[in-house]
Amino acid sequence: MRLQEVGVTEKRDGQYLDHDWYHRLTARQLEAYIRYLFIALKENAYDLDSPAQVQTRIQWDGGTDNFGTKRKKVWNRIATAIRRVDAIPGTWLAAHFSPAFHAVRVAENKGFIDNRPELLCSHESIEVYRQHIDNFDSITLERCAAAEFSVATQMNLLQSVIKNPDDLILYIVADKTNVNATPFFRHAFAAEAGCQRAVNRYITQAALEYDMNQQLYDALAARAENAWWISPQLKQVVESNRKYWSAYHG
Amino acid sequence: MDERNWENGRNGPLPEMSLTIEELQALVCGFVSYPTIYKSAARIGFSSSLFNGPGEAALATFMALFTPLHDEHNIVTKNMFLTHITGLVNNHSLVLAPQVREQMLEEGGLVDLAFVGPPASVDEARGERHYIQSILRRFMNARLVNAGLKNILSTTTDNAAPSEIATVLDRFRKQAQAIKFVGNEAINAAPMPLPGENIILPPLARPTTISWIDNYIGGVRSGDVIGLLGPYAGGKTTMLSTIATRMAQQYAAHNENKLSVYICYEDGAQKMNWSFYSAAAHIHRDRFKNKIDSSAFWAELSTQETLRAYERNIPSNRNGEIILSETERWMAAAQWLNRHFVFLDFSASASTNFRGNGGVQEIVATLENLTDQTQMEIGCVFIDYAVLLVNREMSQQASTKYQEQVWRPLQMLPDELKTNVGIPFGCTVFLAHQLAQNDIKNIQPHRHVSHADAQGSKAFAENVHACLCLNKPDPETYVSTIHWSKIRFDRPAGGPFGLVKIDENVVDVWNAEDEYYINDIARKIMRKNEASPVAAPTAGAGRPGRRLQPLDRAEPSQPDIDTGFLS
Repeated sequence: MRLQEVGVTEKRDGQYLDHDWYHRLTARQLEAYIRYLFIALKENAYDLDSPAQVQTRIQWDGGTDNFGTKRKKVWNRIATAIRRVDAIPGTWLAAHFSPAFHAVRVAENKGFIDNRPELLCSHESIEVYRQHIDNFDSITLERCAAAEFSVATQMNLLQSVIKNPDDLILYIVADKTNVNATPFFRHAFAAEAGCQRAVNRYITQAALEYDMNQQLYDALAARAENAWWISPQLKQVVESNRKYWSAYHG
Repeated sequence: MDERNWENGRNGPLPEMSLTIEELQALVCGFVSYPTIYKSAARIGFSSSLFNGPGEAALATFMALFTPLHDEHNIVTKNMFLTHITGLVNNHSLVLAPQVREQMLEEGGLVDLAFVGPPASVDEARGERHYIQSILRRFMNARLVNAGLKNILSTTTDNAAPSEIATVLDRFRKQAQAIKFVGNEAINAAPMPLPGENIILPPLARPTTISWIDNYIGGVRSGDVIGLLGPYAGGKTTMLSTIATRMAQQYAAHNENKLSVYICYEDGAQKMNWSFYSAAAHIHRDRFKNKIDSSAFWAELSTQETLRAYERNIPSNRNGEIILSETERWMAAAQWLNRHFVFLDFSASASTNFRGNGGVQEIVATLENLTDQTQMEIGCVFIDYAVLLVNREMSQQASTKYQEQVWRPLQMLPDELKTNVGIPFGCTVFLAHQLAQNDIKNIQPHRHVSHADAQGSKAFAENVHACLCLNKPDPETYVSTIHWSKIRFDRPAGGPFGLVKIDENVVDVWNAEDEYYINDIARKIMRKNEASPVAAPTAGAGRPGRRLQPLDRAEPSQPDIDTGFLS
């Protein structure tokens, strides 16, 4: 009998924003979650209905390819690697698309390397995970400072050109070349300024970013000066996504 | 004396200016005010007997009395000095001639002048000290080296030379060398301060708002020289134009009285101006082509009613809703570009009176003029590009010794720029240089190049603070790999590699890592899958990627099942 059927998960419905929410995922749910995150991060395919997410990839999902070669599923190996060290699955994935991954891989390979699922359960993965957590605070604070500076620059320059404040925020937040900010901070600026159009534009990626690194962001956002980073709407989207994965019919 | 010209054999050695009695008085007073200068002088052979010219008896006497006191007590005060003189005169050990007594001891005499002490202001004291040292050098050259040489020459007959002439000349060379560096005291520049004391900290990195710079080196620092290496037609000028206009934009946005200066040896205003305008206002490159006159250009600029398709795709206009037209962007950019950006045409053309002869001193003189004219500081200097700067200077010189060894002046160039431009003007210098095509032709576009890959670039990158290497763009995506192959002051958390895209439509370079990746198997740079259009906020059931569903909507009892791999 599954936990869902006896109502165990139902009791914790309000706790999807807990840091240990992933403990309630079954093995299949966790694999599906990992697969979604990997493809979203690697191929910018954030929508679960996008072709990149929907199509079966034999070399990753398992099966027999056109040459008759049988391939095993890779996602369960990643899940095992994560569980073995009691890591946070989202953070593990984020680490492998973070500067830490390139730093470790550059040292190992003396060059840039394309990411693939097998590298998420390699023997360097734990080092990547550790470095990501170690460097997260400094990198995030630097990114926030850079984002603030570039947004302030554009605000000063454009407020005489674009008169409507809402339009101004949308224009600046979505400016890819003059504003050096990650989607998480673009969303944060938009939410802080109350520009719903800009919020809508970046909330998917920002929610994914927050979902993966929730513990790390929460620790930074506990400081008063960073409290504006995480909007209630962002939490709602994360909660909604986690509900989906917790109920995933895997 | 212009030592460099003399060393290069262009001019003969020029005589130094003759010393005046007032300068010698200042020198003596300086010895009292700055004991370290006196110690340096004593070390290179100074003695009171060198004051042997007409009217210098008082100075010679003063120093003859000052020297033993200083050697014994290390410091001499006015009281000590006067007491010492009085004692010697009373003992009849010293007889002062009336004229000497008058010059030394009368009111306003040498003693009164000498024991005033250095100025209270640190800057004034530093300047005075520097002045005294320059007098001392001239004095020692004239009275010690020159006099010694003359003495030898005059005592040698016409058909003979001094025995061991090499040793004799070497002695004078060593003396001259010691004099040249007088005042260069060995001072520990890194004394460790105690808690609460003043501590010397590195200069702050200033963000450029350009992610392919800030994410790697944290921004730019004053006094830095940053190298930019790339193959021909690889986008070096585009990159420099992008940074230069962006810095000007920042100075305007933050009300800083600074200039972004672009110096181009390659092309003049006619061929370069359009790229600055395009970089500043994001105007399509084609808009500047094939125009007979200005009116044709202005007539083609788009307005809100005549927006063009490309304008929705330029990185600053990608929000999909608020699109600024070419005219609006031009008007906005003209305000700050005209105030904070200067293009110096160093293409050595007749229209600029052949400005651009090469060499760092020409840049220094021009920048000094510019600061005087505009009353603004120099924030950043962009030099396009190094080999032309060096070659033009070398071609001016009679000496062809190093004509075939361009690596040598190239190696020295960043250091010269740092000491003559970066530090004195408190600015950052960006210096472009070409990667030798022969050396990197086998490096494919999806690989990263380093300054060590090409022969001429190793020497170039040795003395820069940071070096950005740009590979040739991928022919399909027009994305290039970048490699910060040298970073002196920081270590980027994500390693030194990245991807940038040179915009197809406008002069702009942007970070492309979120849209492109290097596919090792395909051996090329490929675009990541486009994100699918996101459903409307009311649709969906809270699935990842969909918008947040309204809170009052009932949660479906059974979630959707993917038609994909797990179904």
